Formats: sequence, structure tokens, C-alpha cells
Amino acid sequence: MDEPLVSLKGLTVDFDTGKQVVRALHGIDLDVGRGEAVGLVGESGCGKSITWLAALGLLGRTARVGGEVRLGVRNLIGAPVAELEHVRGGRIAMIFQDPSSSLNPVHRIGRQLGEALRLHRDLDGASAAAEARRLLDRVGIADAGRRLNDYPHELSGGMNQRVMIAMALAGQPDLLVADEPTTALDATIQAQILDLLGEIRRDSGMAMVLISHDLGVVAENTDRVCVMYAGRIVEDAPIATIFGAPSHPYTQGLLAALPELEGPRRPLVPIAGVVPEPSNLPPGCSFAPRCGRAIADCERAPPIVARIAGGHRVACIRA
Amino acid sequence: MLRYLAGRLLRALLTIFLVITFAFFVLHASGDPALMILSADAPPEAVKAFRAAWGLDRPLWEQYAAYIFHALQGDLGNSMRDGRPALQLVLERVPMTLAITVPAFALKLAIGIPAGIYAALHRNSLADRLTMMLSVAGFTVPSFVLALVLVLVFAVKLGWLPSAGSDTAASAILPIVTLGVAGAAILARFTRSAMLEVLGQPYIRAASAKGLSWRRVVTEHALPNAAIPTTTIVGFMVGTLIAGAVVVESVFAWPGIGRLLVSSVANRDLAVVQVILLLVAATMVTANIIVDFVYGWIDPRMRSRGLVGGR
Amino acid sequence: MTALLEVSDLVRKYDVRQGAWPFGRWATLHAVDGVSFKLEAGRTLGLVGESGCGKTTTAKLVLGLVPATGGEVRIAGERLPPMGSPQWRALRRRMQMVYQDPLAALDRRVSVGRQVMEPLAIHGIGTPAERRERALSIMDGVGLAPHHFDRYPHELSGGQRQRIVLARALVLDPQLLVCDEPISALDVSIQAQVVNLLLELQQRLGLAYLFISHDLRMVRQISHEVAVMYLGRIVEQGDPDRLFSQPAHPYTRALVSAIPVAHAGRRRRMVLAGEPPNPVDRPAGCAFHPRCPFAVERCRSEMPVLRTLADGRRAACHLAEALPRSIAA
Repeated sequence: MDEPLVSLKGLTVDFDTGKQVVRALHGIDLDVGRGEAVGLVGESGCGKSITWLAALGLLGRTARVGGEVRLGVRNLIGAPVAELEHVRGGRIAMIFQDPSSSLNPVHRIGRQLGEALRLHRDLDGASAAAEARRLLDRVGIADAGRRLNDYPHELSGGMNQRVMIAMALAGQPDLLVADEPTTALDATIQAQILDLLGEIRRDSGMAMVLISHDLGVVAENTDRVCVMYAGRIVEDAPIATIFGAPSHPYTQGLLAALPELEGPRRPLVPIAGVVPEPSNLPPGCSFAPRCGRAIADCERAPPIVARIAGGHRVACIRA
Repeated sequence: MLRYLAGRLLRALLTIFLVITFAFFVLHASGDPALMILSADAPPEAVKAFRAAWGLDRPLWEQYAAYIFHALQGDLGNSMRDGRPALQLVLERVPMTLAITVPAFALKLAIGIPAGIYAALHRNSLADRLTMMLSVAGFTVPSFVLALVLVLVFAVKLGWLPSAGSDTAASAILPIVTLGVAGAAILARFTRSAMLEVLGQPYIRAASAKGLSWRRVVTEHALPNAAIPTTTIVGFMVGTLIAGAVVVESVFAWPGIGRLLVSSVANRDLAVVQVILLLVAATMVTANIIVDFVYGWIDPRMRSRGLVGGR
Repeated sequence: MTALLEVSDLVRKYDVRQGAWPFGRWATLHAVDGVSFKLEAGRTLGLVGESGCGKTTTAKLVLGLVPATGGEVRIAGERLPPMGSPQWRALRRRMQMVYQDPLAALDRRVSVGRQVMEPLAIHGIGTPAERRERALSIMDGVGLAPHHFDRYPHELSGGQRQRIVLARALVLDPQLLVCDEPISALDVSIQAQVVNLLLELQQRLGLAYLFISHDLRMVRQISHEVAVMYLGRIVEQGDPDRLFSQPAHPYTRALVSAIPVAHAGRRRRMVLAGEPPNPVDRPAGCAFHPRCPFAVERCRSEMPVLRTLADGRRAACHLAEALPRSIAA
């Protein structure tokens, strides 16, 4: 296999709340290849967003990050700030869940785009304005020249997400991390944005990590999925395997809990219980208390991630 | 825009009018100027003559109508104490008051805003906690207590500065510091919470994710947004430039508006009190209008509020 | 037999100012523009559509929380009395609302048990001991344990909080629950728990649901009938299975095709151009025509009425019979 573009090795995150230190990520191993689209799914609090915020050093001072984030020969964890700033937006760009509040309300769209162009492409003045127009055009915003003078509140949520994508493209990154990019948007607009992301990837060969709680969104827009639960990756497999032959009971449970739009209606099978608190994880497998197939051994130690087939990893002793 | 301005101006004038009216009736109901100015054991004839001379023997509403009538023509009455026009008397004192309130205002901004920003950026650090402790102390200690402490230390013990009066430029220092400290404390607290609110917004994280240095994230993205709520409190401080120094002026025997107000109220020198209140109301109202325009200038959302009225 | 809930030609307009205050002109926003439907006891009507389509306003109109500009709401044949009147209060016992965000709907300083008993106290029903008894039995019915009685909302999980909201709504023995996005704030694994609970409660208590959601899959799971709204009007209404597998209205088709499918293999999708227009500037003719790939001249000038098609469903589209029904097309 080729050298991966980005490689997370044993990534951990601890939050120091002042009273106690709570581990939110328990050693994430994840490779993203050049041009690959990887999905990261899981329920709220599973650590899917934190993983990439930690990788880029965006978690703030209360977080302690351990492990390695390899980008080429560099390790981003513990790297000098200047180096990180070069990577952010330049090699790895991010877009977020709520586009309208991810843009600064007091600055014009053009200024915010120009900032990224100056940082990563050394463009200024007229050449920056021309490139900004081209980028807005690229993400399907009509009348780009005029939109540059608009403020975020003058655009719809879908339009603002297009602006965020344009801003991410400004640095010509190798990897785009899209953190729930369509969760705040309406269904028909979600479809437009996901289509746009796919199209851009086809054109530019950019890799993408798509973080979502929606298995459907991930299924249709990525090649490979990592399922996360309570700060760990529990299953990592190609799309066809995850949806055709999932191995981890949690993945199976998620799929069984999801209603279909077609075919006969079947009763939903919910996963019993609730996600454990990060500060109060069970000693063994975090999913064991909710798992129908758990045995005594499951409660002894967290299962290690095992490769059960080429490109298919599972963290379950019962798989 | 013109309609908006006209509306604002009209409301401002109405506010000022209400203040004067209220003050007029409260003052006239609260004591007899004749007894205050002539002393309580003045002969009844003298009191009667005084009352007739100032129109105090006429019905209250008539006095009020006359006052408003003259005021509209620019005549705000004369001081009962020395007979000079009240407006002139008050305006003479304005520079003295501004001489301490303006530097104090600058001091508030120069200390309060940077301290608040620093505390927010270093949240929960020792410096933050210290700043906030000082800030709480700064605005909970009454200004006359602070004034007395400062006098005790710098005038009595060290002998560096005069304890009262307005003979030298150095006399202004203690009043300015006393005024500045409390304001700076309030402003620091306000700025800190405004900053913390802004720093928690998604666009701050997004700006960092773009590759901007933290310094630029703070200066270009956080500060302009934090300025919006801070404007309110700064505007309020502008409104107190004229009348915010009553206590401090009294403690330091500083011959400004504040002291004039205190002595005029004590003497029931009605015209002078009215003029001062008018001036105070006018400053407050003007400050408010300025704040509104500054809002529009720094917050584009205020400029173009689209749909008004909800779903 | 009269339906439990009958809504006919319901209209709600708002006057809004377009452009920055103090400029701009006043315009009329038709949040709900002639909506009619019936809901029988023990049945569920799903209301779907994108934000701003009028589904939440419809819910508030049904409960009388917002006065209607036109049309009427009948509960068991009786006209809904004006909000705040004693008759309305009495009727409100029979219709309860469940909101999207359970934490916002609950008072975080009041214990779970007291919040569940509160509606009983407001309506002066029973003695304190009886109220407690009733609250505990309702809590048991929605899957909350007796030890939750003295807990506070923030101590419980999102799914449990939504159960509290349900218990509080059910304690007065209502006949109709209006659920506005009741599961959108919950995690996937919890959504299924709540949907199953709603289905079970309906079976046991004969409740009727007006179920508002943007999640077509969940709506299909729970509804006996579905109405799709666009810009304040119902554009298609009928059996959920048929509606979602063979939509007659192009907008329904676009909505269905926008739903990503959680299995391998991608389908061709109909991606709409543009965004929903500002409801103040409703396009002439069919409001959907500027985004509709099938629009013809007639769609631009003539507003289609909601009419019954041969298969029993209703659709508001001139071309309903002429368009292909299969999603994959």
C-alpha cells in the first residue's frame, strides 16, 4: 500500500476539567490515503469531531493531546505553532456543522476569503479578488462578484456552507475534513452540498474525511467508514462491508435501529441503554453493557483492534 | 434614514422634557427656597418679599408654565443665590468637571479594556483571577472610601499630592484616579465576559482552522465582535461625563458641576438644579444616540435587519 | 363519524417588513396558505417539508397557540375556541404538544416527578397522593423507573428527557399529541427507542399523532398518512409507502431522492437547483416551478389545486399523471 497522506497513531485526548482529567479519545489509529474519502460515524460524544480538532491543535488549552499525527515526515502533535498554522487550511482544511455561525458576522465574505488566499497563496489585491470570485463561482454561487460584498447574515445556510467550502479550497489542501457539513441544512440543500463536495473531489483529487452521525450520508459519499463509540474506533471497513456484513455489534445495532425508506416496514430494533459517560466508562469493552452478545470476557479489558480481512478492522472479541 | 433620525431626536427631546418636568415638581415640593436662602429665622416680611420676587407665591402650575415658556426662549432662569443666569453659572463649572471626568474616562478605557481582554485570553490563569478579584474590589468599594484611602496614603502619609482643592494640576490626580478605578473595574468585567462569549463562537475556531495565527484571530475576528456589547457600557460612561463625579468632587472639594449640584440642592437654588439636570439628561440622551450609531457601524446585522416580525 | 381533528382551509398570514428597518415595505407572508386534513383517533399523520414550509405553524394553529387568519380547526366536530378561554383550556387537556428539545421544554430546577404531576395540579385533578400515583404509573408506561421521580432533567440522558416530556403530555390522558420534531435532537440509537415507544403508546392508548419531522424515514415508520408541505401548502398527501416509493409531485420526488441511503451502492439522485424562495415572494403559478425540472408553461401561470388522483392519493401538480413515478428514473 502507498504511503498514507495522513496517519493517526495512538491519538489520545484528555480534558482537564480542573477537578478531574477525563479521557475523551482512547488511542485512535487511522490512515487516510491520498484522494481517499473516509467516513467517520458515531453518536454525539463519541469523539469523531475531537479526533480532527486534536490533530490540528484546535482544542484549546484544557485538552492534552498524545500520540502521533503524521503528515508526510512531520508529526503534528507537539509541532511548533507556525508549522501547524501552515498545515491548517494549507494542507488540511476543515468545514463545520453550522456554516452561518462559522463565518464571522462582522466581516464581508470577500474579506474572509481574502484572508485565506493571502495566507496560503500569497495573493493580494486584484489577484486575490479575482481568485475569490473564481472560487465562489466554483462552489456554485451565482453572481460571485456581488456576493463578495455580502455579509454572512445576508446569505442562506446553504450559501454560507458553499462559502466555507470555497474558503477551504482557497488553500488548495490535500485533505478536507468536513465535520457534519450538512446537518444544519435542509434535505434538498444537503443533497446539493454533498454533490458539490463529490464533484470537487473528482476534479482536484483532494482526500476527504466526512464526519457524520448519518450513516446514509457517509454511505453515499465515502469509500470507507470508521465507526466510533465512546472515544474508540470500533470498526473500520469499506462501505460495502460495513453495510453488507458489519462485524461489530454496535455497527449492527446502528443499522438495525435505522428505518428504511423503501421496502416493507419492519419494527425498529433499538440499542438498549445509553452511551456511557466519558468519565465513567466500564472497565472492559465500552459497548458491553448495551451489547446483546457480551460475555464475561468482554468486561475484563477493552478489546484490541484486530484486522479480520484486508481493510477490515474490528475491536470486538466476539466478532 | 431622515425619518429615523427625526424619530430619534423627537424621542430624545421628549426624554429631556420629562426629566425637567419631573425635577421641577419634585424640587418645588421638597422645601422652601426662601427659608434656605434667607435662613430659617428671617423676618416674615423678607420671606414674603423674596417669594414674590421669584414668583414662588403663585400656583405651582403657573410657575411651571412660566418656566417652560421662558425655557423655550432660552431663558433658564437666574440663580436665587447670586442672581446671575443659572445657565452661565453652570457652564462656567463644566470645564472643571470635564478636567477630571475626561482623563478618568480615558483611564477607564486604557485600563479596563486591555485588562478584560487579557483576563479573557488567559481564562482561569492566576492573572485572570487576580484581575477579577481587583475588579470586584474596584467596583464594590464605594468611591468616597477609596477617595479617603487615597488621600490618607498620598496626601497625608506620603505628602506627594494635595488632599483637596484645585490650585495646582496635581490636585486633579487623586480625583481622576478615584473616578477611573471604579469605571475600569466595571469595564474590565464587561470586556472579559464579552470576549469569553465571542471566543466560544464557532467562527473563532473556523478562523483558526483556516491557518490564521492566534494573534490575528484575536485582533481581527474576536475583538470586533466583542466590541459590540462593550459599546453599550462605554456609551453609558460617556453619558456620565457631566454628572458622574458628584461624590468625588465633594470629597476633594473640586469646584465642578457635582459640587454645584450638591450646594444648589441644599439651598433649593431651583433654576441651577434644573439646568444641571437638563445638561445631564442631554448628555445621557446624546450618548445613547451615539451608541446606536456606533452599533450600526460595527455590526452589519443591525444595519440590514431583514424581516422584522416573527413567524 | 366525525374525525378527531379536522382542519379545513387553514390560513395564517404575517405582516413582515422587507428590507432594513426603518426602510422597506410591508409585505404579507403566507406561512400557512389553505391547509386541510383530517386525523382519526388512533392514527398518525406525518407532516414533512423543509424549514419555513409552514409545518410548525400548522402545529401551533391546530393547538390554538397561534390564532388562524382564516379557515378552521375542529376537534371532534367542535370548533377550536380562542386561546386562553376556559373552553380552550378544557380542550387543551385533550391535545398536547411534544417539542424537539426536551431540555428546553423542561424546567431544570424542578424534579422530574413534579414536572410530570404539574399538569394535573394546574387542572386541579386529584389529591396530591393521587397525582403522585398517576405520575408514577405514567412514568412506568414510558419506560422511566420510580427512582427517576426525584431526579432532575439534567441528570438524565436525552432519550430519558424526551420520555419525561412524553409522560408530562400523557398524564392528562390526551387524545391527540402534536409532535414537532420529537426525535431530531436524539442520537440514532435512541431515536428508535422513542419511535417504538410512540408506536406502543398509540396501540395501548389509542392516541392520534400529528407527527412533524424532516426525517422521511422516521415519518414513514410511524405514519398512516403523510402530507408534504412546500411554502405553506400541502403539495402531496397519501399513504406513506406509496408516496415515498412512487411520488407524484416533483417536490416529493426531490425530497425522497435527497435522502441518503444507508447501504452500499449509490443511486442516481434528483438534485434540485436553487433554494426555496422567500415565502414573501411566492412565485406565481405553482410555487415550486422555479426549481422544478419538469415545469411547463402552464406551471408558471396557473396554481395547481390539490386533487385526488386515480390511486386515491392527493397531489397538487398539473403533470401528476404524466410524470414517471419511479425514483430511480
